[in-house]
Amino acid sequence: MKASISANERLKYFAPQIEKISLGTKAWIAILLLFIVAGGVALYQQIAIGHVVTGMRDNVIWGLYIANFIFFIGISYAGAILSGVLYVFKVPWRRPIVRIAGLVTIAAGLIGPIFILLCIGRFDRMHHLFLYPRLQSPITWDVMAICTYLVGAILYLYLTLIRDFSLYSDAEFLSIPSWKRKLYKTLSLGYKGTEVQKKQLKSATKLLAIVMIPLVVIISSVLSWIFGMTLRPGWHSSIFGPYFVIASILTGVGVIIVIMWTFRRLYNLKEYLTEKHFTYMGFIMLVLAAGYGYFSFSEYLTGWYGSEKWDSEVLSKLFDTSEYGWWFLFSNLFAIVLPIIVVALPKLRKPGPIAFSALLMVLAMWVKRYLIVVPTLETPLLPVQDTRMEYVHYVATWQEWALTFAGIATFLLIFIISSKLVTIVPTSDYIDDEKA
Amino acid sequence: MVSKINQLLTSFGKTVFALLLILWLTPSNLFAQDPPAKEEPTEEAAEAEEPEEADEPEKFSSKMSLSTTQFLGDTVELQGLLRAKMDKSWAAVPNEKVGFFAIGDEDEKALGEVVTNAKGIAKFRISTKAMALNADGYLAFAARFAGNDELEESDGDANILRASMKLTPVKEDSTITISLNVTAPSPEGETPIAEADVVVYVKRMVGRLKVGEGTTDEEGNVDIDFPTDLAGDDLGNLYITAVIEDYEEYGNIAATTIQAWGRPISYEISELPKSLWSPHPPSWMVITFFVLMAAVWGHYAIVLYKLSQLKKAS
Amino acid sequence: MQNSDNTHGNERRDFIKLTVLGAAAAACGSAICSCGKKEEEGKKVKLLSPDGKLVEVDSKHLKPVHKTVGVSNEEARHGIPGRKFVMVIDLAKCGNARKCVTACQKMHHLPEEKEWLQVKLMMDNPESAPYWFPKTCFHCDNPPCVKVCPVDATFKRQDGLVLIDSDRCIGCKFCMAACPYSTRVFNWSEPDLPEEVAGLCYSPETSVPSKVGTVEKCDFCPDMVRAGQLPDCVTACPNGVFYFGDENEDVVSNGEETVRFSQLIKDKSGYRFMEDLGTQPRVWYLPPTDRLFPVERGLDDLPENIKNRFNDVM
Ligand code: SF4
Repeated sequence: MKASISANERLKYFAPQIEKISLGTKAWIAILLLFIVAGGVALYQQIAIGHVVTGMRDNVIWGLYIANFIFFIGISYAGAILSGVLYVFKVPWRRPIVRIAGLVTIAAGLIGPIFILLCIGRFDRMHHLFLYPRLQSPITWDVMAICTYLVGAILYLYLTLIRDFSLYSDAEFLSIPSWKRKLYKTLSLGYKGTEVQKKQLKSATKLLAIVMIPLVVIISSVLSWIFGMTLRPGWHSSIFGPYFVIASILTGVGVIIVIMWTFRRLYNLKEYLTEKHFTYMGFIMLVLAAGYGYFSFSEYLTGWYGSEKWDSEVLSKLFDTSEYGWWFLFSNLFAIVLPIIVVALPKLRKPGPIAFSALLMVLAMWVKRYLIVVPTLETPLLPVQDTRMEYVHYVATWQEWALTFAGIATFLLIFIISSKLVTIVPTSDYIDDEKA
Repeated sequence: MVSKINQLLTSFGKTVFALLLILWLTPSNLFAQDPPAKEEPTEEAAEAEEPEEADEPEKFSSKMSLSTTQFLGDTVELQGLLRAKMDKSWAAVPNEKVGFFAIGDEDEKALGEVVTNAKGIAKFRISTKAMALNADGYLAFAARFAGNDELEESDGDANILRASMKLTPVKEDSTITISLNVTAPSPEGETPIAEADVVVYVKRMVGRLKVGEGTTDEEGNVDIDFPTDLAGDDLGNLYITAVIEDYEEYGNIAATTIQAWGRPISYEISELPKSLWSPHPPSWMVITFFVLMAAVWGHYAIVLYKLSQLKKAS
Repeated sequence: MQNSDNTHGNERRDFIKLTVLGAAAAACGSAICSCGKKEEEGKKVKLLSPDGKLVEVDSKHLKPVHKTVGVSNEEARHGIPGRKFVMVIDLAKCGNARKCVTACQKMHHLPEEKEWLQVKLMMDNPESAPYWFPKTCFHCDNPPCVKVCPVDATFKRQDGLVLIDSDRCIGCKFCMAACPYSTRVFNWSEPDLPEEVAGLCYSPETSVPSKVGTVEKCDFCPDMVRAGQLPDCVTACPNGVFYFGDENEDVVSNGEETVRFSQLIKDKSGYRFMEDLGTQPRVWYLPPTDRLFPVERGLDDLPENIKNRFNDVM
């Protein structure tokens, strides 16, 4: 038994988190399940009646689903790149954060692609993507990228879990059912912390962490190119790649901050997720928000200044308060200005305000995704000249909203369930420190 | 049920193919595109009499128009256009049988039956060498539609004098000319037809392109310049027709020839180039894609290998 | 006519219209006879064989076929050898009669609200004169839609056509996002089709029947061209606005006149819509100069809902 006593003591401290499910959590699970059921009903209607039940029509062919897809997959990318960078650069305060980042990666990475499936007219034909692939299509790139990425992300999370699994399975004091213990044992691959094992695990983790960083940059650019490759105003932009990368990471950092704050309260982790962690994450958020603001500014400025016919048309919709003006203002104020102010002012630089501003920023970033997708599609190059309002203006239907909330609920559910399987703070990670 | 459908499918496919083959090989199918049905026939057409009061008054009336085209060698092409009156306008009736007849002074001879195409047109080509002229010296034809449950019967006739047009293609250096000679038989032998307007057409994918025209002189001769910059088929062949349309009592007079005067067009279906819009991606894309994929998955493989080592070490 | 007779007559009229409009269709398995009556087997029809002899063919083999799967899927992906299709649309002649729109809808069994061919009222800037703008698929030589299709469901053929294989399309709608001309339409729900149409075997050349969850668009009717006919929009237009043809042959035709494509483009200053997008359309426009009709005429006799489309412009 290699794990030090203090590691076990630590585990004892976290034990309640994985040992039992509190009533409150059960209630949460029930509520989330309700949302998912509602989404199920909507999905049934969409399959039975067709995509007419959505607000999408021939001009606005993509709507909420695609916005959600970019949103979730972006969060996932952020989790991966954050844990990768923190690991590779051996950032000392990373420990309580990497696990959350890893879980975010997986949960969001699984939900995102589901929204693509919802948007596709014939998901019964998804196998055609592999039967008749066309390498020239950004969708092919994206499908391959996401598959590759998910494998890597799951592998990476698993690598960081092995030592914990071994610890859990050996900790006899944990009152967990035997199936759970068996599961931990199998998953730990017989890790006993021998020197050889340590070395192997460490080098494997490091290797993967290094791979994940460029991988995330590439695939989140690929995601942006689905839009960037078209001849549409507001999409056909060369900075879309880096713009999406930075927007993704910003959103993901926000989500992680919010989750840190929640778990800190929920599982009493104040000693581990200290104010320092929030401050550091806040700084990261500030830098990203500033970078994102810079990209936004140059994107809109060049479009507005050049005032090409189509660019101006989309921009006028974004600036017009009777169309998307308020949303545009909201998305920019709350995703750029607010996080910068909150983190920059020492007085506000506290877990509460930071988490709150992060939450608002995440919301604003979701609105931004919507503003990327819909106004451009409402501005085709030829006049629409249609008397059917739903063909002119996109309004999401309850089915789309239900599925959106079902997606969010699933995301949270995955989180709750995984927090019952593994500790939010990687217990075994502290062993090395203590020895040193 | 399914097997029955399959059977029907195969037999249907075969028959369609056979039908297409026959239609395609029939020389009467001179132009790939038939003149539009809505156009009033320019030929010597006989209108059907108004249908008599029949005991079944709810039948629609139909109209058969018969026109003729004479070719060299006493060949006549009969063309029947069958239409039905609906809502004040005449619409082509496809898929109905039209019978063609040669009318003698005493008797008449059935020549054959043809089913109308989508444009209501039935064509029939016949050699008139052995055919007797009627008392007035005319070749007399009739086309009849027997009617069906919905349509009244109708017929049309055409009486024409014999005439023929001889076409001589002349190619000299860089100029091409079509020499034509139009004559009609008479007791004194062949007499020229003068002052007839001749138009030269080239068959194209859709319709026929007018490439030249002229009017015959006293001798019944006319030389028409032919363009040298036309595209032909894969061998450069051009399907050329000279036509005198609806001339006096001769009906249409036509002559055809096939000449390799055109620029050959390749009929080969070659692979599309490597490009963004073809099924074949540009090489750099393939290479980049696979290099990237191999790099990432290669690392995954190393990691998995390390994990297996880890398991072994326990 | 009495009332009861009237309804009866209408029914029959509709039924004949069907016949006449050539809605005869062949399903994957069975030929569906448009005339609604079963032809007994064994009835022979005389036909002229290729070598000039009269042959007898079973009459049941002589169904005219329209919108059938004439070619294999493989062939439908390659295109018609030697062709390079083009269309020329003469804006000076368009008076928004919308006959092309309805003909296209009829031909492809589309509901009234689904327009593969649209007529827009264009006004390039507040000072310029508005004009009617019929818009088909442009079948671009550098097609943005084909570039982005992940499964090769929409493809470019050697004869220039961009077609869709609805049996392969996954409905990602990426091509719709990519097309700068809003040409493509999506089947948001199960299309409401008569049984005999829904049962047809889909071919990229016919684009019939529509399938739920997939994309469709104007296909330039290659099945008609194979049969030597012009697309329906071309023949339906009362003003001869559409010219369809083959760039290799350098000929286009609107059904009434057949002209040389290069000459037409040169004489009337033909141009391509939004040339600066680099899509290289195969559709050319002739500018709306010396118009046949004042633009307001296009608003006459329009149903209210269609008229309202143009409220912003006129
Ligand atoms: S909607 Fe169909 S045709 Fe269009 S890009 Fe997707 S798979 Fe291809």
